[in-house]
Amino acid sequence: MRIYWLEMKRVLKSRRALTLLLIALVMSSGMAWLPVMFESINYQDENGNIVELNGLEAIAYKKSIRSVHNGEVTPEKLKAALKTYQRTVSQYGEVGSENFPLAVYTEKISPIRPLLGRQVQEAFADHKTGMAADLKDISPDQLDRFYEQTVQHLKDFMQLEQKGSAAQEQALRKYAEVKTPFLLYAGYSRDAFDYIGFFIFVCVILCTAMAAPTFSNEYQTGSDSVLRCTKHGRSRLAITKIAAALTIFVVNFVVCIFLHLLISNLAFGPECMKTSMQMLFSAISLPALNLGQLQVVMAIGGLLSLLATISFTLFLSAKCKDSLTVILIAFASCLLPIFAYSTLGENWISSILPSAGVGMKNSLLYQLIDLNYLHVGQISLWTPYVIMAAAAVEIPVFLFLAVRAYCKHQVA
Amino acid sequence: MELTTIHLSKQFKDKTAVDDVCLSLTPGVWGLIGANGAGKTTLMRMIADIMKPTGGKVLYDGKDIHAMGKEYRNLFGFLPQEFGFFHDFTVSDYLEYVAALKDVPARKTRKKIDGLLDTLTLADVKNKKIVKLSGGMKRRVGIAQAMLNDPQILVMDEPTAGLDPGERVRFRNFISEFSHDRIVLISTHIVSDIEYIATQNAIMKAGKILDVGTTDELVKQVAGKVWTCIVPADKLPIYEMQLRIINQRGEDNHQVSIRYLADEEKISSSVMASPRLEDLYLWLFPQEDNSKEGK
Repeated sequence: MRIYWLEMKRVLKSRRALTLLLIALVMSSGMAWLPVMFESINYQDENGNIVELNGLEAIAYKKSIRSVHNGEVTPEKLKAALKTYQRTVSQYGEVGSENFPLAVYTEKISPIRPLLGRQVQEAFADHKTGMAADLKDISPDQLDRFYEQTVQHLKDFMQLEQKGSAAQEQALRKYAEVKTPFLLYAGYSRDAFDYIGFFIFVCVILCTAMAAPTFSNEYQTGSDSVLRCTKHGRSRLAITKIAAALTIFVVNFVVCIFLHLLISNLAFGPECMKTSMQMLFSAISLPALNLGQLQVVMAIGGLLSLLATISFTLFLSAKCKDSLTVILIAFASCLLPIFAYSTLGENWISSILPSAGVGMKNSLLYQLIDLNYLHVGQISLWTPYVIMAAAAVEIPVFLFLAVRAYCKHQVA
Repeated sequence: MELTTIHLSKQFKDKTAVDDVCLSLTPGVWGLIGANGAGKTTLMRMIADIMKPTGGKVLYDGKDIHAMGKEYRNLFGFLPQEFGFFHDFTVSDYLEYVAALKDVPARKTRKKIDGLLDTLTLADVKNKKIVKLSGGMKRRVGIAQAMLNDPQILVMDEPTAGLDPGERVRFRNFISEFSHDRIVLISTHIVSDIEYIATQNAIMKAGKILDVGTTDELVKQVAGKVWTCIVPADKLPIYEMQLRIINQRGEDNHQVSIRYLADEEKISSSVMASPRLEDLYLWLFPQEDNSKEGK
């Protein structure tokens, strides 16, 4: 333990490490606040003046007009909302057209907007093409069977995308766990979820930069020659260095993500966390999670990806003789899943690399929302499971390899 | 107590850095003398078990040091030629860190560190960052870390590089006292640093050990080959081309006193001088003549 605490002290005395930790902390708050700043709404006051609200004021105003529908998303609520929408559109024209009165939008459309997000259009999509239906073309009576229709749409979608694979059955089994009716507590923004994912990506990059010199810097400066000649300078030192690094990264991540979620949830309202994730994303998303639970899953998945990436970086650091090489390879491996996913779509590379769960469209969030499966013979694997299982396996493997590489290192 | 290298070799791609070295080191100060590139550092790294030999092995009291692992490292202290350190660590922090790795008991660490800092006149800078110290001070911090565990085997690669003359004298005295019942191996090409303290010297050239012996035994090789004389200053360039001048000193009346190596007297009125280890070094490594080291 004495070596462990001294190693912790060494790392935390490093100006470079402190700077990166501070950047992570500042970015966790900053990136939580950005989607709050993006919130805006215009409305017409009693005097006919157009009032523009931004940030927290916009969130508060939206919630004041939309909270009437908070609670279970029953077919009756959907039906009433659709009727209101269709009546308003037939009277005033297309929503968003130049002539559509702002006051009408504020009074009639804005309150039902979260209810009639993409979910209804998606559920009644064309079963052959998958194209979403227009709200004008859906009969309100059809919404009596909204939840049956979401299951049907999932079947149609899987038939279209995963023809003949075991994935179809798996998806339906998983979707059966989703609680209906969905819950809606309006106010939370999809952007905020994107920023959670983006912050995790930034955190992984910063921690990778911190981890890269762990061993290689000492090879480079020659201090390794002194340390590895000491009694505990081989496997024990390697294990201690790794343990200290992981402690710092885990604490840093937990603190930063907690701060990020705290700021975000306080700004948008903690009650929003009860919303079913299907009401913010896709009606046929498979996880039976509300937004709060989704945040926790993202944080755990992010931590797993972070640890897998760090373990890989520590292995590189123990293997390579200079920090620059380590950092270049580590950064390239962080970005590879993003490029692989954007060029190849769902594929093994973007799912099994250590940083597979972080990035843009390849991130765990989008894999949880989407219905991506990877196939090995007759077996189909949902990509979030692949990402998390691969990371869980990679952590001990790369850590073991890092210790081994350090012990076998020869002074050049 | 004996540290033995048995047919120790290290081959890099196109160079044999250490070539079939057989050495038996017993307690006392051992000087490892050789020019740059002679293979001293490579030999020391293999003795430190941080570089794998291509052939041969190193034994401590008959046991393979690599197999001994931490048991060997517990007896060992090492100062590498390039002494790296943590940039944000103070002298005290660094020594505490190394002491923990050397398994120096926590309760004894402070006393041990303070003792070494006093001996190596580093007490005033113990709370300074190592990066801000002068070259000589950094070197002394390196010496201190090597001695934290009172090693039975102390290996130092160019320990006096960067030390001023006073520090070098203190270092010599310190090592002399320390070396009782211990094996201390010091590599250097500043031979005066070990001339008076080395109980034995090993001379290394092109990866091979040329000779081993006490200073007196070794310098016999150049007995009758060291000469001194006084020459006019204006003729010095000519003598420099013709002779292996190892020292020169300006005298009055445009005269220069020179010390040169030759099998026989090359300038009339030359006087045969008592050979020193440095003379032997320059005799064995003639390419170093041009440096005109005048220590």
